[in-house]
Amino acid sequence: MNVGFIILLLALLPALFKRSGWFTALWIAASLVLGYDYARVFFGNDSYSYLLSTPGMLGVIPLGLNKLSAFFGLIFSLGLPLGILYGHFYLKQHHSIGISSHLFWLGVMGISMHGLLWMQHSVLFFMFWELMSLSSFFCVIQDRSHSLKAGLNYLITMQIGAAFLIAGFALNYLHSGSFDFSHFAGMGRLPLMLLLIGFAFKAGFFPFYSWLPQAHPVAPSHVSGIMSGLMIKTGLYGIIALISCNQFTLAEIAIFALIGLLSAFLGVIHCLVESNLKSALAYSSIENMGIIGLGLCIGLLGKLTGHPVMQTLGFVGAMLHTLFHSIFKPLLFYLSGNVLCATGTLNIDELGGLKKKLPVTAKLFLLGVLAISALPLGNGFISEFAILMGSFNGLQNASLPALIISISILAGITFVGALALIAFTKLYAIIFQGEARSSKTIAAKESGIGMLVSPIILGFLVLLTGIFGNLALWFIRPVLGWMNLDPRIINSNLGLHYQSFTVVFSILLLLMGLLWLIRRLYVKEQTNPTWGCGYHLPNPKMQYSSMAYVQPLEYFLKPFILIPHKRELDNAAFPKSLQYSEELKDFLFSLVILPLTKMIDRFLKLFNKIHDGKTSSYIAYSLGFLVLMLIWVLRVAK
Amino acid sequence: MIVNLIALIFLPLLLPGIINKTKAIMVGRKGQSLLQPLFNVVKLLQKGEVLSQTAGSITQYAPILALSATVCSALFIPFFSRNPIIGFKGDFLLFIYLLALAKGVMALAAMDSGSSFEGMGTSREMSYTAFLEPAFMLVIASLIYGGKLLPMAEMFSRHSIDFNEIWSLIVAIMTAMALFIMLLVEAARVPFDDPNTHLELTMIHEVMVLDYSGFSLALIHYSASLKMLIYASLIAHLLLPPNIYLTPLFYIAALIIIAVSIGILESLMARFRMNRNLELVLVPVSISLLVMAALIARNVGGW
Repeated sequence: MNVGFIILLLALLPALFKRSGWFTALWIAASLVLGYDYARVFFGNDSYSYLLSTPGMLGVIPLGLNKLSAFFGLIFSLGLPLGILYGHFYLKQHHSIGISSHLFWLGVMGISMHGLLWMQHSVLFFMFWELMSLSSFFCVIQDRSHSLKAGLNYLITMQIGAAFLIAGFALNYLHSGSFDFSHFAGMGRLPLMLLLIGFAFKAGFFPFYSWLPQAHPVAPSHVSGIMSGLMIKTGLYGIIALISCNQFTLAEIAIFALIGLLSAFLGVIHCLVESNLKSALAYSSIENMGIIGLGLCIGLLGKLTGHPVMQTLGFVGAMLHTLFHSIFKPLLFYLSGNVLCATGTLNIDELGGLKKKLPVTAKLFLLGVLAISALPLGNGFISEFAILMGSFNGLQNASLPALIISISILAGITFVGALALIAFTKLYAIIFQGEARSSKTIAAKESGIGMLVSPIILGFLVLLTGIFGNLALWFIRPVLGWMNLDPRIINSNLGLHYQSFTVVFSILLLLMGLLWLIRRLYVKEQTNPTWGCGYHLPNPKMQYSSMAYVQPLEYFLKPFILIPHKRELDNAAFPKSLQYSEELKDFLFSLVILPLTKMIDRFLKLFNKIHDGKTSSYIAYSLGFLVLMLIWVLRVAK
Repeated sequence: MIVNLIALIFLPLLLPGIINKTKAIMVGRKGQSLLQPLFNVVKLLQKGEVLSQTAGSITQYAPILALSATVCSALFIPFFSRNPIIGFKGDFLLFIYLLALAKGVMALAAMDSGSSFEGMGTSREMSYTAFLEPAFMLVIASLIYGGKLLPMAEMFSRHSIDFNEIWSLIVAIMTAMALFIMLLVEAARVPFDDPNTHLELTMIHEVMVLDYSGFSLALIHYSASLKMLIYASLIAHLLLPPNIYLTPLFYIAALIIIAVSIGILESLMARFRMNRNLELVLVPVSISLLVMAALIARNVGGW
């Protein structure tokens, strides 16, 4: 631990002097050291523990790791250096001011993410948590001209979440008299719910997700990748830690399932209609968090109803999806950064035809699409298979409410999965295929090998874990043991299936290779323009647009999305001009959060009036205050 | 197992032939030979290809991947024999996601050429998927709830029709109905889509492959018919009574009946309006929910 964190702190030095290369190198070194520590705890029996004795009520502070935090630590020590490596090359493309402060805060963010995993003490955990929120805020607002508003929205949302956390920790202290995490088992209902809400803010569950689609598009791409792939997992870390040491009733699980379903559904339908690439990816993060939440619900339901297979599969699915999401989501964000660098826009309706200009990016993006829409060969399928199998096992459940929850979860996940497939085929098709829709893509080209290194590594991992599901299962096995899940159940219900998957996938790939060979040897090819179906001179503007692609579904999804449109038509008999514009609005943000903040604002403005800037009135206020105090003191004295 | 492999290779292209013949007889024509679709595919396989200038490598790989994925998903399906080539608990998920993979890559391939007509077809086809996948899951869920979690082939043959038990009749017939509607959607038949339509604006599946020719088109035709055969076989095994002799013969008879009924349906019905199609795609979802609800009512209510 010591060595790793010392290197991380050292890395802040080159950051201050804008030495991005040294910063990256030190980060990679530190991640190796820390990764070794995590691996020793995770796969071995070691447990690092340090005790800090402090005066006062804090008492003895235990620093250490358990299997769960080591699992997240391993994810971070893989994802963070890749993100920082990508960021090193990304920042070179974007010559902008404030590199040193950006690197500094990026370093602090990474340190706090690693640090909070070691804290087994709520006060110190909370300090690192706050440091993480603050430093990621500074990372988001790197380009201050257009990101400040979204960044502030992020910071304030995080502070509200932190308020829930601090209330939960304080109540728990009153309840158990200890800040130590080892005394968190069987905590009171109120602090438990407060803590879960606080963590849900970070993890981006419904209805606390509105910061994600705002912060991600304006943040630099490596920061969006790190935040979306890794940082929101800290919220999940808290939730899983709480879930694993507490009991829940059926009604509570039903509420969790509803929240999970709503997050997944709302996330995916906004992803479907969003035309900003990074916003769409942010919404898809919400969807994936919802799916992980549903996996946890299946696990809890199995635990409650005494159905070990269901419990095991649900938890395994959730952990696998946590791992895989931290692989394929950064991949997609980094690639969207490549698109942004090459074209300068994230609006997908201005893109098109990039597959020939950014060939490697296009192919890697395809892997991301494969994984995120849970198609076979990508790793998303492996984890969703576990969750779905868990809910199918739950169908043998005797109790009716549990049965209904399982059915709605499995139908929900499938529906959401199908919509995700539509959303991501749309994104890929509009960005990379067809012809260029605007002049912005003309000069587009791959921006160097550096920006492809991290995506290539992540893409390789997507395929590796997608084809060999057992590899991922082997990797997460220790944390499953920590959750008291029976390895025999895992083996007979998942391990064997993943083996069969590998067999089927090899048949698939063999068949593909064979057909490809035949095609290569015997088929003569010639090229011609796309057939216009009798229309002469079709131009790129006539291609299908992103809104047109989802239009057939609009009829069903209209009640759930808010797309205000504006139409301006001059009132003449023969109108000369017509203007039409529409914009996707997050209804949670524009119908709940904005009115709420306006109400708070109006309430606070009431006090504005007494603030008139005249010395005489301030003296009058103090006089009035003194008189009141005098009366109060006299009454109390009496 | 071997007989299933033979079925997988030779049967698919017979179904469209039977459907075409039925349609021809219904309108009083003599019609093309039963083997015409097979001849077409053989002919296409020998031809060269014309590719769009806009298209990239996806156009070349997609039909190959789609065919491989469909063939792999057919490995779990009972054809002549009720023992599939591969079967394990939970193979239905792999089955449905492999079909989704085939559909996904074909959607990307259709968007590859930048033709707006192909975009139109893709967006329609993909929006059906959104409701078909949950429908299939619910069908499977009701079968599991009524019985046990087993390999897919076994699950379908266990729930096949049993004339002595009224519940088995309800489950088998209703599920077969849901699967039949799903077959019509997946295989792009009337009333969802008309394979013989002459206007690109009204096509769905046909318009997605406008820019394909030669070898790739042959693969596409083959995988489309294979998909139809998969659904038809599931229905056939659901409707065949268990433990009868000569299952292969009855299976062939059931396939012919299904194909003929598709042909008759196409002769009697017109295509639906495009924007009402999605509502109809929801019908299998509701049927499977109904089966599920009936089974729950039986178990919980003690009927």
